Amino acid sequence: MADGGKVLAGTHLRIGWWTVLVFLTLGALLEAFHALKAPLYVDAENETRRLMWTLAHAHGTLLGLLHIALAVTLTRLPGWVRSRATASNCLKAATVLLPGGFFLGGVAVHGGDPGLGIVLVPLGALVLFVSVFQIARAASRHGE
Amino acid sequence: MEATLFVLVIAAALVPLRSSWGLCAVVVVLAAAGATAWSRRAPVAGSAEDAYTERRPLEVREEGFVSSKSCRGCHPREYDTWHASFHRTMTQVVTPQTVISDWDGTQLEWGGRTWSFAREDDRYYIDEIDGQSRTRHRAVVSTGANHQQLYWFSSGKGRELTLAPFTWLVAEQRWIPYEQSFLGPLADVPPVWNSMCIKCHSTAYRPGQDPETGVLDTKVAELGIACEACHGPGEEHVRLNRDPLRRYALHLDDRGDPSIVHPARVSARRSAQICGQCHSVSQPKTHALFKSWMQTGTPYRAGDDLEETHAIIRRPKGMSDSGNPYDIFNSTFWRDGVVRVSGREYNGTTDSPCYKGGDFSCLSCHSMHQSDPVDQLARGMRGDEACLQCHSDFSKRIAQHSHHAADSSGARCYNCHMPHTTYGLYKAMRSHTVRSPSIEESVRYGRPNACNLCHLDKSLGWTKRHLQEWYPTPQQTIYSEEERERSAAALWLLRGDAGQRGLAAWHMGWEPALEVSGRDWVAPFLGIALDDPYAAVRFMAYRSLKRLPAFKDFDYDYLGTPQARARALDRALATWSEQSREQGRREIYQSPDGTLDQAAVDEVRKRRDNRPVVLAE
Repeated sequence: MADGGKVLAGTHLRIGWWTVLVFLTLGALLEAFHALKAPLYVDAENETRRLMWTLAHAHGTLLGLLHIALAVTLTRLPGWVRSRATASNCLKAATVLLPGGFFLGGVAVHGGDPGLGIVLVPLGALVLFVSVFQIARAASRHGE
Repeated sequence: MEATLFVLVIAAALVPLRSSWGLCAVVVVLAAAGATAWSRRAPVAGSAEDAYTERRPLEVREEGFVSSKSCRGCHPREYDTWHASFHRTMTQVVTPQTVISDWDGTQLEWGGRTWSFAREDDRYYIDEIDGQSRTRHRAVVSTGANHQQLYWFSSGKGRELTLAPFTWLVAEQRWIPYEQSFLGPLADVPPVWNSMCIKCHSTAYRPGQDPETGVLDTKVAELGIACEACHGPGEEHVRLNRDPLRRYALHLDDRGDPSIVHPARVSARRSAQICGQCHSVSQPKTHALFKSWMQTGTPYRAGDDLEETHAIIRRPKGMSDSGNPYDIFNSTFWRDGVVRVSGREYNGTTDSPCYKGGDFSCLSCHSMHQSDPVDQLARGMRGDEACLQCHSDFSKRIAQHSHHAADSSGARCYNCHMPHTTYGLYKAMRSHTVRSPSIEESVRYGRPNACNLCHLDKSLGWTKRHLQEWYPTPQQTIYSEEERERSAAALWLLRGDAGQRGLAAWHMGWEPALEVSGRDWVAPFLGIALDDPYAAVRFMAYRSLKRLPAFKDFDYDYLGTPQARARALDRALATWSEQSREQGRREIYQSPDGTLDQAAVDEVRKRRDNRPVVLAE
């Protein structure tokens, strides 16, 4: 495995675990909102916010796990060089765009519609799709 | 079921899933539980299937109506506030979630029959027992949830609903005969929901009467007063707004969505008409509309011009009395044309000078989505702010204008210009005809004036003197010596018609009036009202009496026998007599020693207006 791959794997491992920690903390905060019946979160009129922030928490945590999976994948695919930077960068971008879009979408809601921050989500989904596609292709080509 | 599934899930988690036998066992148990639950599924009360089997009005999505369920996804806050409103609960399917009365095991006697209440699973029955015969009725639909709840049976003729003979009083937690829940003897016609309540207690109704057989195949967009009653049919709005770009363009634009009616965005006149479709005294405008009404209902939809389809009925000032208490003019209006029954506020609002300006509507003071469900007053509109939003010039001279201390109840705009001269639901409510008080309205037309509804111990002569001194409007009405000298409220209670007596009794328990007029003299008058021929008057008198310190524990049943009521009057007078008074006041029928001037009271009572009164609330 090239040194670049090792460095990248280390980067994703770090990003992954810190992301999981951040979004688990957000999850705990959301649970606290439930426990304290915080009106900004549990009132019926804030149903959309509740959904958006739950999605931000879930997507953030899963993306953290994807970073860890990518780190493991990089160590298992030493021959993968060509598209790994794309996969890596797209996953990093998705980690910001997807949970960030959901979170911002829940900050200001329009009735049943999330706030304009939600437009980040399809962009995040797109770059996540690109990243996962590159990883899947690399696994097919370079897997043992 | 929930507990079983919970245990199963825990078990599944504990079973080592590598053991294929354990996995198989979990799958089999879960499948069996699911199959059992499915097989026990029966049409539950409230379901669409149940509507067919129980022959109650159907809720259908036709003519562009899509129901409140379609609104919820995009408008959760508005849905939630509507769901908490009493508009929604005006008609509900009877289920354990909607019944608020003490049902199971109740047994009542009425009309020479026994009525036995029973509940089986989520279904509610009343057995009518007449000697040896027993007829079982299933309550399928209810009306109301705030003050009272009534129940309707399927008559078996199409989807016709007839009324159960009892009403549940929510605050008092008791059953009363339906006939006693109104002020006045009801017409001898059994109420039918499909022709009476449907027009205001459902959304987009069609009574569906077959012109030949008379059988009713009633359909509504929704039971209760739902979103589309005020916003119009929503199908097109829902369809267009599936497009997210359209929605976000609307979010960023303040002009609103033209695909749906928004009562705050149409003209004040059209906005008021949306409320007026129900809150008015009206009838179909043309003979053709009248004829088709029992088949197709009204063509009016929110946002239309109400007066194209509805004739708003108004009583001309001073119109002579037909002598028929059921006449719509007698049963709905005071003789000066002001509405005297609840739920008809559109007439009063549109008769008011405020409305003539063109910017005033119901939404000037009320809000459907940002208010307390009880009276739906918008935030900040409970006090003078409601009036000062237009009449801001009065804000710094309220005391000067009202001639009352600025922080007193006498300086509150509502109390002088919207007094409680409307009756409904066993209580007095504010008139929505915004007017300045005069003694003419009391002397010539019988409508109690605002001054004497607060200054209960004062006479019309006292009021006339003050109004003449304070305001330029001449008070030229001629009244009797009795009216000049004696408490107007006492006179309304002793010699007024049933409506006046009821209002006087209610005001004798109204705290602002008691603070001003004193509370140590009203008990004898309320005691007299405990023996009134009208149940509603007795009810209000008892409620007021209980607010007096010496009568908190006074035992009385307003539906008791005439003998028990007469005894209650004696007990009330005895209790009052035990209290010490320094000296009597002639204007409130007291002798110089502070005792009741019984002879004078009896003389006035003999002149009580005993003409039948029916208030069509």
